[in-house]
Amino acid sequence: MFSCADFLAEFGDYLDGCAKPEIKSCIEEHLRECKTCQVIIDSTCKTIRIVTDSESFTLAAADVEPIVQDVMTRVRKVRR
Amino acid sequence: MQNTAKRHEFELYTSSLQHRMDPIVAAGGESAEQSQPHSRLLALPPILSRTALDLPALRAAEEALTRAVFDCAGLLTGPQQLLLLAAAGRQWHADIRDIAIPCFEDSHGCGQDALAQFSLKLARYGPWCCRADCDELRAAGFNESAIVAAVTTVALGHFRCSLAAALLGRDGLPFELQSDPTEPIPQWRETPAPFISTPPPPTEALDSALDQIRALFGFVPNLIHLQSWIPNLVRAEIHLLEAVFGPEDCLSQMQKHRLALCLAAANCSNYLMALHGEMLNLIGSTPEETLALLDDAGVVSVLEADKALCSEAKKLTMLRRTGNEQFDPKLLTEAGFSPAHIVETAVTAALTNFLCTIGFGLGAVPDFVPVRTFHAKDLYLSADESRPTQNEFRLEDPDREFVARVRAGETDAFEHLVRSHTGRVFRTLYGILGNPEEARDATQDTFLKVFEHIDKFERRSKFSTWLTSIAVNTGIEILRRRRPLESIHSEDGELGFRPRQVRSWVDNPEQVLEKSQTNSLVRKAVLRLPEKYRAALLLRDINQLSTEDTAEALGLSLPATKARILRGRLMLRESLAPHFTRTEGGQRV
Repeated sequence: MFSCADFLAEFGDYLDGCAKPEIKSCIEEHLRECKTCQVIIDSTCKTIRIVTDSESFTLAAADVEPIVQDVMTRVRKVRR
Repeated sequence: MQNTAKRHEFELYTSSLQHRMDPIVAAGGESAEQSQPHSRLLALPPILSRTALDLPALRAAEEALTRAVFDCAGLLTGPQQLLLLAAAGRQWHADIRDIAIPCFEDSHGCGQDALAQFSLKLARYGPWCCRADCDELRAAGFNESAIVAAVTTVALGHFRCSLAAALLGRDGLPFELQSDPTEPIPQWRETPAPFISTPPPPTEALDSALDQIRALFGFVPNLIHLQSWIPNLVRAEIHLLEAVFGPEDCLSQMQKHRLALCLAAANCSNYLMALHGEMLNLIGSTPEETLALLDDAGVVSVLEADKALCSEAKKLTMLRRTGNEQFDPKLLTEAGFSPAHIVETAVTAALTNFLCTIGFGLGAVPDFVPVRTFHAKDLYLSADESRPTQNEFRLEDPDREFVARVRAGETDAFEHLVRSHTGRVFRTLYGILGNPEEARDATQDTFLKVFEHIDKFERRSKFSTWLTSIAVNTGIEILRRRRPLESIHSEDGELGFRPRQVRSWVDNPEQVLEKSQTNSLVRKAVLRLPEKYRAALLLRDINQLSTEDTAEALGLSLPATKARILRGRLMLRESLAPHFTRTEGGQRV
């Protein structure tokens, strides 16, 4: 019997699409019957989507070049 | 003139070993004349007895180990032992290689095919060894003790050649890894370990030797247990381990375990990585220091001289790669080490190669979680080597050309790498530090470190993964200075998290808030995560590295990395849930 605890232990690989076939079928069978785990997997997928799409830590394009130039100035000093 | 001198030296080694060969040949039932072509295969110089230094304990231990391995005559015949030694010797020495090839060809008619195949694979492709290789030997009539004897004999060959490569080097015989483009690279297979059965309980006589290893390491390594099919061998090996790792006359234990760890990593030995990583932990080195040492980056607390030790030790790797360098004692002399230090370095490295080989051959299961775990993809070491495995293991690195140009001295090529990866490095550091200004400075520092150490980038991973690991270590160093840090490298406590928010989410959460609000919400939620989950989630979901590359960049095992990514995602889900769950009437907005 595949429990909610089993589901929580195994669904990481399922999310990444690399669960073993036998585990995958157990998870899918469990999801057909467990409303709570349906919510967890659905909201976790949405979390990943939000995080992946967000630009929370993105460096503005205009800020890239000054960093590149500063690094290269320091690198050229090191090489000399 | 130089060739004549080398020839003379070669003959000297051959004759000096003749007395060791006679008993073996006798045991194998061959006349001295028949053994003549084989005798040269044993031209592995007894290095320690030839050094001018007074090293009685090490010499005695080397002698005892050699005797114990050769004493397995009841398990293997003399010609079989020679075949096994030749398999290791041919990896290192051009003459041995030339002599060994016909020897392996001859083995086909002598019922030694299985042993020849096994020894060649173990000697050249140790990390690829699997249970099926031992099964082949069993099918050919070798029992568990004989398999241990065979593995140990190949290991002895590597031990002696490593010593020769380190201590003779350019001034003596050309002991360096040999190329053979005709050798097919085996396919890597994961099989249950260990590859041999558990030996019977140790006898009383062996118990005292096991007590010695317990006193030295605090436990009896699995590798030693597995070999107790041959008690004499275990005793000799423990004798050598004590002689090498016990005293601190020249190198300290910390220095020895560090150089052994670095060489184990160069050999892709998870077993020895775990053992030396744990020993370093016990004697006071932090996991962060250990990992940074492996990455050649950010090791503020390790002396330059000690880094030189590790760097030279790694050159004695048994795995052949493009651009293998030779061990150079002069570099250690310049770093302030005496001849006695250099000999200890060589012996420690040779012993590491010996143990790595045994670990590969017997499939020893690590006693601890390795500080870094090598996977199948790590085994295909050179971009020039063909890889007869699935494409997913192929290591295509889009930065390869630019890295090569920088290594060749073209500083301007580095600009391309900086421009390509500034965004990734900044994201990683901003996510770790939580402050964009600090992240900007740390991004520059990361690239400076990368530039300074690019010659040490071993191309086992993609450049971007290596760069990310340096960025992570740079961020962690800053955090450590700022406040006491929960280690991101400890692997405990990953399980047991239970989600509490179990209400359904709206269909399109991205549309609930303005983009800038969502960004701010995610940033705050990510920065509230404990560091170890945050780092894993940052690399996997924000930088979109593969799980394997995330593990590599963090220096964690794959299972630990997966556990952290999942835990990070679930914790983040809890933080975001109040903003995106459905209201009583259905959609939130």
